[in-house]
Amino acid sequence: MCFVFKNQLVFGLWVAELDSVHQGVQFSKGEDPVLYLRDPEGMTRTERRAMLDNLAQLNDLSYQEFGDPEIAAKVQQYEMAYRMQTAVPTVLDVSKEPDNIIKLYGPDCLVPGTFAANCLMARKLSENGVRFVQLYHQGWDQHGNLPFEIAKQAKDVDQASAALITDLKQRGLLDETLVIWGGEFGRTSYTQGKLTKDNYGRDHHPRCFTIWMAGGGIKPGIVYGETDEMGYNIAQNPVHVHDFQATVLNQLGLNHEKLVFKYQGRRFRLTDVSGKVIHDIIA
Amino acid sequence: MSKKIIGWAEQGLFAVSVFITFLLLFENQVVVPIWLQPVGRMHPLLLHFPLVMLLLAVGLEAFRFGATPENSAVYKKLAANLLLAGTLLAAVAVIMGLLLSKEAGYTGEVVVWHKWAGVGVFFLATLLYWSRNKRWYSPVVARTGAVLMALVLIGAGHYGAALTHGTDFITAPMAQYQKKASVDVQQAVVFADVIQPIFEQKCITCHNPNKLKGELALHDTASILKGGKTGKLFVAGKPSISLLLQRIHLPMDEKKHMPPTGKAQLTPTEIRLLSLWVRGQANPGGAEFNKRVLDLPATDSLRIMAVALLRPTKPAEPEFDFKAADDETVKKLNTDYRTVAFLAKESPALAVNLYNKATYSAGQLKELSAVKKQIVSLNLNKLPVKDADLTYIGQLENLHRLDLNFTDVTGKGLRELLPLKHLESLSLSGTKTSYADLNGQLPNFKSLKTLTLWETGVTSAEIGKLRKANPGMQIIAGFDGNKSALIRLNVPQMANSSPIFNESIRAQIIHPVKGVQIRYTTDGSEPDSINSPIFDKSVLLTKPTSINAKAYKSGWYSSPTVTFDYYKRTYKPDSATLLFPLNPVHLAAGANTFFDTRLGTFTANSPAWANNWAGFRANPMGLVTEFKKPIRVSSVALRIMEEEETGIFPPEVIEIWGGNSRDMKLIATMKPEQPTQKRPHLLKAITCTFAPQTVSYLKIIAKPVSKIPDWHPNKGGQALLLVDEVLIN
Repeated sequence: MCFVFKNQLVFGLWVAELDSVHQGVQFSKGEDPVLYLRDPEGMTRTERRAMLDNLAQLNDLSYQEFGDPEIAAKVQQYEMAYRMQTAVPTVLDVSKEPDNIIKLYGPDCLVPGTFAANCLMARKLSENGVRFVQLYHQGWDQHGNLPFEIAKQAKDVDQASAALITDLKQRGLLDETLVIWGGEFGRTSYTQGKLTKDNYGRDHHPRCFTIWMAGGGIKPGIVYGETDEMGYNIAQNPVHVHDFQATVLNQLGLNHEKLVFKYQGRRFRLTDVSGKVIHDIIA
Repeated sequence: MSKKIIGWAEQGLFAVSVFITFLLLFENQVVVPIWLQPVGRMHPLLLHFPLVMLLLAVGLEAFRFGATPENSAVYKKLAANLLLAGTLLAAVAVIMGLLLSKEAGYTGEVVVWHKWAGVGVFFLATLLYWSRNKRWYSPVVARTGAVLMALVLIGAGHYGAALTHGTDFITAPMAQYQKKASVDVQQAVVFADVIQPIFEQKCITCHNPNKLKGELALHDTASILKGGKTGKLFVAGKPSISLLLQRIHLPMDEKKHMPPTGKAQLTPTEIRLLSLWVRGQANPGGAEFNKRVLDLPATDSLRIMAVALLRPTKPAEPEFDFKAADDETVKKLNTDYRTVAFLAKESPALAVNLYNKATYSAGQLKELSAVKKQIVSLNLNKLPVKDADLTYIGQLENLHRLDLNFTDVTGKGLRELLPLKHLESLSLSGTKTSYADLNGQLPNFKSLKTLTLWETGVTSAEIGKLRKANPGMQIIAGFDGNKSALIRLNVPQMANSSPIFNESIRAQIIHPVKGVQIRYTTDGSEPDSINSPIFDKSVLLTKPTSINAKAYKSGWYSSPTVTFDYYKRTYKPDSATLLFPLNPVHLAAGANTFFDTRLGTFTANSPAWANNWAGFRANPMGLVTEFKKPIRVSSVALRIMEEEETGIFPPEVIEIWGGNSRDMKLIATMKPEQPTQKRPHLLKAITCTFAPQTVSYLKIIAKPVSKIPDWHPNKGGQALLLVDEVLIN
């Protein structure tokens, strides 16, 4: 998983406590990340505009006659849909990206649904003011067949992740954008299943695992925390999930102890009743 | 106390005076035997007793003449005994101290001062004891003696403490604070400002010229290079065999672990810094002393860590001294294509983003003058902003960051931005900015820290010159694809919605990268860049065909070869039914799966049951198809997945039954080839051909392998059969 935050808080897949206005828009992985934005076949953009204008006039007539505010709201919705039609495709269009960028992310960035394409899209969205982008890359559950699959998985994400950071940096966006790369748990340092030279697996390991962050006021080039030499338990500087969240919120300009919201009649804090900002990793 | 004991004590005092004088005179000839060394080491343990006793005793002495006759006898006796006991203990402490000072590592000025102050304490105390009953011992003499004693005691204590804890132990926290604040990253020297402070904080209390533990001092470069008793501190470039790093990496309970147990330990960052410094990445000579932090390459770990360490700690949130704009104004400025948002909760600062090329006008910038004090961040990337529009931006007096990437501004417009005294980050990537414009104007942007010049007309050599001329600025050149290593193209893709066709198909194979040439073969051979035909838009196929395709483009490595199978299916049944239930997890679309033209795929990330595969394990596949118009059929093919590793095998046997009613007879039987050893997964069509028949009904029976062969880890088990399409021709 890879998150790109930009100054503001939004929420991920598993936290559904915030109001729906704070929920994200899920993009589909095919050619059209947001559906129904293309004009229907046989209709040009001018025709569509003319159609909407006529429709608005008709709606306006009914509004004059009945005064129903719902009619005005409807007109607004059509207009918003039109604005999305004109704006979203240009934001998401990768066909005009120069060769330089294709080389940076790797040619897979032009294949919809790949992690490279998602990284490129994340940059484009971020550049266009989208404040939170969450990318998924699946298939890391190698209980078996690890040597073969992990190489493939790593190849999917390696160049593209580096490219996202480089690209944000060369646009001067990295210092105001926090890139977080990680999963929700780690894998054992020892194998699982039958161990042969070219086939073995690893089990889940939630006791300790690693994520990395870049940009967004995080100190570069440092490692924080340590495991024992087996990689089994935390030996030094543990960071609890709430500590991590508190730190991210801090970087977004929010004090996790003051940010309280009400949901289903109860006041919640995003870090529950714990969490401390890890100042040692903040630049 | 009895007179007898006091007598002995007084004689003892005389004896130790002589002994101490002797020790002092013949100090250089004295050799301390090993069994006596522990006694010497108890010096720091004992010395606090005489110290307190003597202070008390001289205090009593000072006020002794004011005592009333009733209590003066007791008072006098107490003072005398206390002074005598204190003096004797002081003598023991002095002897111990002299023994200790003979051990290795005690040299230098502080030791000398401490020694003579300690000896002074003893002789002064002896003198006071001897003179306290003399006739001339007046209140003035007593008080002078008391003050003198206090001073010498403090002196001895001070130098002693300096030996144990270091000379600036007490003021160290303040000194450290002041020092940290004053180092400028620009000027910082790797050794003096990053490495030496670590030694000073964690090592130097024991390793200094006054207390040469292990004959090692770390206070200056000469001593560091010299090393200690065990040898040189480090081998430049080789942290793993360097003594310094070996010692700090030893486990805590190891005797030789440094710093010793109980002393402040090195932090992981400090250890890493020392290790990187010894490794001396920047220079194989390693461990240089005068190199500046910024002389190291930008990607050097030591530089990155050092810069992070030296950067002055700023308050977490920048403080702004202006008032927030009223919510109404901010709300009004927010439109569909312009967001005006507070930078953080409760912050007065505003960040502004403008969107949409088509609706942009300079007027949108002009309207921002209502909040010109509050805007600290402005993002205009990819909008047609002209140089003239920058006059409005020049009025945003508190602007910290400005994004003009891919706008129409040129370097000429930069002077409009000069009034921005707080501008820290300026992004000009993708603009027509030239070296000449920047070179002249950059030095005038006093607070500018970051400048992006990627995809501008400025060459990398010119960027190098700008960096040199503006050392305080981070100038980002970005990624240059022409200089990067060659990378491999990805494989071509099939654009047909399904590769299954009825009569003929125009095979469409495309590649997402522009300017790519796709070459192909249809005979199973590997395509090459010279002889194989170029795939031009589409190729007409009338037979089932495997196309091998490969992508080429100059400046890239060619793609791996990819195979696209096109399948022909002449007949689609009017109805199809399954005789036996499917394997419960692999239901796909039931009997329709086999004719829906949707191929199953093999991906690590999504399992077979989600990918159009119908599965058979407990029951065989029994598919009955009906054709309203009789068909002439000569082959039936099953498209299957084989992955022996997970127990997915081709069918053991395929039977084709046909007839003009539901009462069918066996037309053909076939035993497909089975894997005989480990092999990678494959997707293939297994074709069963027979003499042409005219039928209205066709029954296909395919049995999963009932006993997995002996070479397989799951031998004897029931295999799974996965089928996605049935092709009838």
